[in-house]
Amino acid sequence: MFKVNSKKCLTLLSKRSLKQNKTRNIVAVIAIVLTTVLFTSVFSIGMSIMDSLERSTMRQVGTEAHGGFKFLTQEQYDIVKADPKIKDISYNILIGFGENPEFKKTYVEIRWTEEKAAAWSFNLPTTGTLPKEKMDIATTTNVLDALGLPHELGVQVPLEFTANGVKYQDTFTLCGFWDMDVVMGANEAFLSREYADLVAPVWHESRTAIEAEDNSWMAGSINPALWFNTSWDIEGQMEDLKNRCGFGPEVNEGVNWAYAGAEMDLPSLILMGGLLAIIMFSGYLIIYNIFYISVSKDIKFYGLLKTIGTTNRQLKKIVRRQALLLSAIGIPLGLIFSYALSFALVPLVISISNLAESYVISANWLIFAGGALFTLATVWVSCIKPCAFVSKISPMEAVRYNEAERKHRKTVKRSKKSTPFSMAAENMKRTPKKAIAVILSLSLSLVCLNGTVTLVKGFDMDKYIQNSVVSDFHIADASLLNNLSAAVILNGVTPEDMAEIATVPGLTEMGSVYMREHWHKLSAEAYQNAQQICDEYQDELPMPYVEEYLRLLNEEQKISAHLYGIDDFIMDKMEIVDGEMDWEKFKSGDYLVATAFTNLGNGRYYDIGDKVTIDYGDGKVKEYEVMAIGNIPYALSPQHGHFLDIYFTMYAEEFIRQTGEHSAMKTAFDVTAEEYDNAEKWVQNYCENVNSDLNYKSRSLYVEEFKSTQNVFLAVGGLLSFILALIGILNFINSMLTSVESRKRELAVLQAIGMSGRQLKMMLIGEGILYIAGAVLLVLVLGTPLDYLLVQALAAQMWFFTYHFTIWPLIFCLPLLIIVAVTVPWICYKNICQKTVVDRLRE
Amino acid sequence: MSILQTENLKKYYGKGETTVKALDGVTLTIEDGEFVAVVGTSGSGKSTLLHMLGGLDRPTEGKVYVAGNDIFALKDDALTIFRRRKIGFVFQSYNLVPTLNVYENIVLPIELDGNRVDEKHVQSIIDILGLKEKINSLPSELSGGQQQRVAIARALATKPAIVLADEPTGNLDSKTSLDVIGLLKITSEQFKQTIVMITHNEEIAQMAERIIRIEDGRIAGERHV
Repeated sequence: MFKVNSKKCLTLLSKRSLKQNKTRNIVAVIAIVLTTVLFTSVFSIGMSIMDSLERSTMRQVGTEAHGGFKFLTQEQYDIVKADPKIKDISYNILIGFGENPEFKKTYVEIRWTEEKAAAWSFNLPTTGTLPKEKMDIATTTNVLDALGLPHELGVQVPLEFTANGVKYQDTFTLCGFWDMDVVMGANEAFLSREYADLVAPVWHESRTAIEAEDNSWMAGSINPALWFNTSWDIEGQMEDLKNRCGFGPEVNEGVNWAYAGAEMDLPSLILMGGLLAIIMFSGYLIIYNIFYISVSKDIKFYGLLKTIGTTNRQLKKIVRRQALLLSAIGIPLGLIFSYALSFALVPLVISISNLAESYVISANWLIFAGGALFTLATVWVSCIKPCAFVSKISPMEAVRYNEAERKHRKTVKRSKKSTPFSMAAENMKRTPKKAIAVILSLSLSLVCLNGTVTLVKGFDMDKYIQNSVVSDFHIADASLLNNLSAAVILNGVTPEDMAEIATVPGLTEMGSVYMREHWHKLSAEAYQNAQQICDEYQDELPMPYVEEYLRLLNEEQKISAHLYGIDDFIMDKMEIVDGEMDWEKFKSGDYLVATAFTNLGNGRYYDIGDKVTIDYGDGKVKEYEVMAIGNIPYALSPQHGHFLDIYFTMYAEEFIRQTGEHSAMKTAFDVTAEEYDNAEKWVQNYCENVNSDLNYKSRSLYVEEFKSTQNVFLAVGGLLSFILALIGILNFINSMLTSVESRKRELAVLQAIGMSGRQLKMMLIGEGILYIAGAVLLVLVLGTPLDYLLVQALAAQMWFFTYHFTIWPLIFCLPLLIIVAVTVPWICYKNICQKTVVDRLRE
Repeated sequence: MSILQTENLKKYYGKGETTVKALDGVTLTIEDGEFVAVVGTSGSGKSTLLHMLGGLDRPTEGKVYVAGNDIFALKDDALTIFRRRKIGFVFQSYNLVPTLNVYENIVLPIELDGNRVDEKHVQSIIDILGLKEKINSLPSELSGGQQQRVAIARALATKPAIVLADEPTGNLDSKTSLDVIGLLKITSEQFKQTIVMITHNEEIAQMAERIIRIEDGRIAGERHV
């Protein structure tokens, strides 16, 4: 059509127009910076949580590589290595397992490794190097501690192990060491290749476990770790690789599930989407308002450009170009701010998620690209209406346009007296769009703040603590209390420990839970019930995880079971959902309490009065009667399980008699209030210095944990509200300033015809107050129900949440808002008063 | 040859009883190179007529032909482009872009069209209008007469088919007014430029070749000077 090259001239016009509007530019840049900070913070928190989750899973898996093989021969390794679709590969050779008597609680794997393979498995020495000389060794400080050796290079390290059926006892020289991650299960001890070739020559022929008596057959096997080009569908890629290499099922492969697990769940996605929408809306409100006001102010300029032949497209370009130039300043500034901010914020957020040890601050370029892109999109969207406004107005109208005029103003009949306040209300009605934008902008931060506080205040400490502790203290093996442990020890509290605990200062009552896991063979009737349960709860069973359990159930009528034994102290803490407990009968040892499929008692394998046969092994079988449906309290349970599980609880004496197990899973006890602090010190000392395998949980630890969870939500929500509030207030200031500026002459006229300075001030302050009042009203009418819905949706998965109607944050903010509402117009008034009425009339 | 023609041009504002007939059937023809003055009392519809002639506003009824083109058959942006190529405007309030200097203001319509500036033509306009010394000044540094001369220069720069002047001397004192109109007349002769000027000042109207009188939205009379 009319393709013209007027770029130069349009740029000139945009630039000159920018120069003309200094105040607007500053406000717009601040708004863009704030919007960028908001977007980037949300992205960076989200990404960091996902990254940290991934890292921490990797550390549990023990490698960051995509996958690997186990027990390969040199020839097999060469085939894999030659595969063109592999990005990188490295390997280690297994030599043996540490057998020194000091290693009872320390699991030590002895290998030779390539440097890359060591790095991928987080096992590079932080002091010293990997072995170079024949008798060098590099290992973890854990191993050194177990052997009672100092953390010094050159120390002589004795090592015992068996390789290919031959027992070795050698002394090595420490050439490097590092701190092992508590999360990882195994300690590594790396030896030299020369030594490895001597005791565990590399395999040239496959072997399997069946040929050997112990695990020393593994010596000399090659264990490679490898990377593909992408982390997409690693399982499939691994399968393909195996096929290409011609490996059969005898070859063991493994994939790193850290790469599969980092998906966001639905509530998080909703939360993230909601946050982005709120930020976008808030950014829109201010940037739109800034440009709308500025465009209305300059409408004469645009109108005359139109009369001399500037097309609508060109006018839009002039507006857009200004917005883009301002973004070019605002967005980079915003990115720098948020980069700095993320260092403060991310660790805080990560600290609640048990990932404290492994958090990563994601300074990923994606976060910044995302932040920049979303801000730019917001700016773009914000310009749509002002652009439409500019292009819609006819050139003659534009030249005559006055912001104060409404297009179709009906005649106003008013019998009321004109007061400064009624005039203020009229003034607000003149520019309804601007008023709405400012009011919405202000209320957004109030809604956000109110929502945050509602959420945080709704965290019910009693509910939270009740679920986590039923006694002042409980003690268990450290592995059981560490959420990240892969293998847990279920009999950590020995009778000796219990005897010690009995001496705790102020002890009032104590008792233990004993536990054993086994495969329970269901009775014919129970099996039928189980099948019914499977049908009924089919949708809730997570496939494919339960497939193996279903197979066992159908082929052998077996389900996994926990057998608990409880002391008297635990009995009155039992959570019974159905049936009457007769504790005296229970103590006889012929009765037990069984669980149902759901916590509410639905889906019962065995019902009250049914007979349960428990097989203790070695031909020891006993029949019990189900007395009630229920379970031990969650706090004292092992806190892990599978679907389709059943848990039986019997009296501790009976449990010990049948199983011969005298060590407890968890021992709980209460102390007097006066002695609580002393007891805590005692327990802390006991778990650190006397029996370091044990750990404890106390009521006060949970209170702390609870408070820190609360604080994180408060900090993040508070910061978000704070930035939103800044945007809202900035929007208010901008529209107040510009409105007074554009009405300068009109205000002078008012003064000329007899309005006193005081009345004028009151009128302007009245306008300010009306904005605030509008915002507060909106929050009350629409904001609180919205908060209710939002918070409910968010808290749906938090069992420790109770909704309370919350309004005090609003009341708390009110004085602050009123101060802003009074001072800003007051400053505006002072500003215009610098010139006399006559001067202003002449302008 | 006629450069500008209107056919039964009507512009009504409002509806029903409150209808205001700003233009009520104006038919006129203006020849190429003519300098025409349109006179009338305030509210007679002369400004509305000028807006219609320049395509700034759309009529309720009737047609306007500029150099043979039915301008209201064009869409908005096409009309704007037609306007900046074929019509030069001079307003009572000058309407200069405050952020651009004199030279930039003059060449703005050419550059908006993406064309190369005909330096020779622009220079001769600047010379005739006596703006040589001021080409780097901003509008705010100029007197009213000077600003109006810049506006005339801008209107002439694109070599338009017609120049439409809406009360060009309305904001000027009588001596300056005569100077400005004198310049307008000289440029009309020099560049064979068709000019339609609106004024309520009889003395000024006398300087045109033809005077058209408008009352109540209709042509009330016409005479050659």
